Amino acid sequence: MPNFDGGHYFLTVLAPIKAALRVDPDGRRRSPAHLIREELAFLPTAEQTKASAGHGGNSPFARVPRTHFARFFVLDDVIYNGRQPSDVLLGTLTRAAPLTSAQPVDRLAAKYLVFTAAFDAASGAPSELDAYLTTLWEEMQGQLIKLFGNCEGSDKVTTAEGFRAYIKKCQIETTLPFNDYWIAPPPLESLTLTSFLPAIGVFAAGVLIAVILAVLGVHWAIELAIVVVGVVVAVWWAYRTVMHAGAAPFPTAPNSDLPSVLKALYLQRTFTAFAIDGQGDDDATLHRKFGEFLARDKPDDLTSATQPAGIIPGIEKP
Amino acid sequence: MRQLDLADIQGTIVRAYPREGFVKARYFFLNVQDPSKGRDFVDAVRRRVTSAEPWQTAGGKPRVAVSIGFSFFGLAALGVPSGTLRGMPDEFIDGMAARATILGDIELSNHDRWDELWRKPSPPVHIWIAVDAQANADGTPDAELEGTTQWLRELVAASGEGVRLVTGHGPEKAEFQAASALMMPLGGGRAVPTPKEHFGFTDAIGDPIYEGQLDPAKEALAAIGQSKLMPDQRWKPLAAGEFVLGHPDEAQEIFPVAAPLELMRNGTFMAYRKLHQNTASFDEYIDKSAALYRTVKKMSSLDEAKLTLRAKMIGRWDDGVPLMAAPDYAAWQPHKAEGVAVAEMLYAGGPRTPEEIKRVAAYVRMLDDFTYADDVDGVRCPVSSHIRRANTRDMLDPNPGKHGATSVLNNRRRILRRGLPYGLSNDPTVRADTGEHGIIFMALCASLFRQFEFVQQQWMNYGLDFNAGNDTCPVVGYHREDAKFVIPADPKSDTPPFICAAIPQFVTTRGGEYFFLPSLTALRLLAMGTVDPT
Repeated sequence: MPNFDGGHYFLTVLAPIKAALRVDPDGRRRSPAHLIREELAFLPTAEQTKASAGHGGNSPFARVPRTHFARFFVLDDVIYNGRQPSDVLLGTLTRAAPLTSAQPVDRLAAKYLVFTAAFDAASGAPSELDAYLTTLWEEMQGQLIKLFGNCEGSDKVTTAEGFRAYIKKCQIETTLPFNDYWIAPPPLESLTLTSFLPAIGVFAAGVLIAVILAVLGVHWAIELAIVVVGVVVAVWWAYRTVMHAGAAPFPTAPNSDLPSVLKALYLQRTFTAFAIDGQGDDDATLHRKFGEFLARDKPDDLTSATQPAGIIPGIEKP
Repeated sequence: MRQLDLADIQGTIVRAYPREGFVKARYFFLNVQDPSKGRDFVDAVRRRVTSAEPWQTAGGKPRVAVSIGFSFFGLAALGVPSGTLRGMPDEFIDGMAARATILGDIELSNHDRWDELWRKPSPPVHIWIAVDAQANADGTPDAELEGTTQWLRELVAASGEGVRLVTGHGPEKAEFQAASALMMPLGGGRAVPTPKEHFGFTDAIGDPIYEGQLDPAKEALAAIGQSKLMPDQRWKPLAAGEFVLGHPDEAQEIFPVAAPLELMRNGTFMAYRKLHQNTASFDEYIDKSAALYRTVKKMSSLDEAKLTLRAKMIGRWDDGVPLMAAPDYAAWQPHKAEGVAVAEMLYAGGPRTPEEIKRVAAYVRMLDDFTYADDVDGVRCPVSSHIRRANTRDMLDPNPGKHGATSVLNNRRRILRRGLPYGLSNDPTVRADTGEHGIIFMALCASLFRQFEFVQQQWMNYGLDFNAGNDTCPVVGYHREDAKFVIPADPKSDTPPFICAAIPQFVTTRGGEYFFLPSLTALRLLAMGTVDPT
């Protein structure tokens, strides 16, 4: 299931945006898609660039500590911008599909609010998605209601349970998940001949039965049919073996969960500072300073002396 | 192979004038008030613009060479139609000041610290004119430099306010930007130009070679280390379209720019930058860091530590010998002695015997004939040093270090480097952060965005492509308070890597703009007002 890969759950949600205008108590009528875009424009982003640092409000996803990436956007439409090509001469001769006749244009039935998130997960089990969605609801309920409140079928979303149910209803399979935490080639096992032994066995069994039947004088058509069935089943089995191997989740890279990544970023900075500070020191001083570094920055402790989520320290507004 | 129409291309696109003896320059900036008078002015100037035709057939080397370029609003001020203007690249339309965050022109390089002519209420700069002059034996500029200046003054006066000189260079608010190679007195009243810049490094060694630029007989040798590295490890000239518009580039396409092609063909874009050098800060920082570097690296003398530290930051020793040829102080000594011998030969009138010619050629080739295949980790030449950032050679190949690695990810990021130092002092005892000394740096390329801006933003002011995090170039990069530079150590050695920390800002921007340098044909179109995009 590609929703789970490399130790992360990849959530993709397409929530249809309401077609009906929203009518405010003062009678003002507004487009739901417009309201969603406006809400998104005011959603604080992570404090990771000079442009976003110091605005006083970190991204709400920083409060959902398993989140690696999250993204909202409005998908207005997906259309094929062009015509199906055809042979002009052939079309003219057969009077089929002349260039002057319009072809149907595929369009989405509605606009969609797309929400994607990649978060830490151990197995991709539904309970892990539930837990993530519960935290999401607890931490950013206000924003979620403002966003999804403009989507079809979300009227009953007032509780964590309702939110979970709504998201799952709108969830589609993530077919191209991607994360990149392997620093060495991952231990991937290639398919070997042994993996195909069952398929080969089926084929061999078919041939064997056919040979026995031939010896027994059964009509050749029966033997042919058995061999053909054997080949078909063997090919199907081999195909299934390949697809099954391909469907296995990519292995989880060591230390690729968010707390470890944040700790690594923190240590990268503090260890660099320690290395700079210790240049030219004698062994005893260096040893003492390293002891201080270990005591202060606790390399094994993921919960303290770490980098806060959503913030790159040291970036000031220009 | 099809040749470039050199007589239609401005000379500066094909040759670096200082290398040809034009070591004195004046850069003029003009504003066009009246389109018609502006076109008349261009019509007068275009007749003196120096083309790239070889000197031999052009009737010998002139005393001065004249170049001209236009900013986006300069083209608009001359009445170029909007159908043409809207096809111009975004960065050219924006202009250099608006690209500050991309270029790192912030804080000490902020626009409000630029020379007066780049700031309001000065009128916007529309035209750039460069006059490059040869030097007399005593090191003074050829009198024709002043002669040409006077001619320009008269043209401006004759335009009756139609064209105005935009003045205000430096604290003296000068009429033009003067620049000169740093001259070395030889005794007997003689002075010769040196390839030095104010920090004391030898500059202007690397410059890309492209197809059709040089005499085919000279091309193969000149391309070594300067151009593109092929899978068979031979160097070939880059496609002309990387530097001259209207010709196929390294992507085998003619880079799409504004219509009509007649306007753009044989022209190019140029980034003009006035870069101030904080020579006092630089020397102080080297002095301070060298003491620690000497301790960490257990070096015998402070001088060795200083020179090695300088070399590690640039990637070349002070005389230009690359670290890839001489990774440490001891290895540098024979190259240094050879460099002195070669320089003496050149100052004495050039090599004469076949042995001497061979010796000079071998030395020059050594300066650039190297790759990084044997130094993936930067033990010899740090990956974050200036020359590895500016010209990555084979370093970014997906299989770095493998023989067969090529420069393919570097080929579309090259710039032609032009320009000269400004400020007279090359006296090592006069070191200051204040005052007027630095480099007039000009980068010529087909796409300022893909080439100049990319190198400036991603390679000079960032380190991700080199696995160096957000470390910037230790010399010319933008330095935050915690700017650092890592000098890797050989894992087999008994000394640790060295980190230069808290590097102050050494180079700041004092002005600049993006210009289009048209062909001689295009100059005629501009002068006649017949640019037609339809």
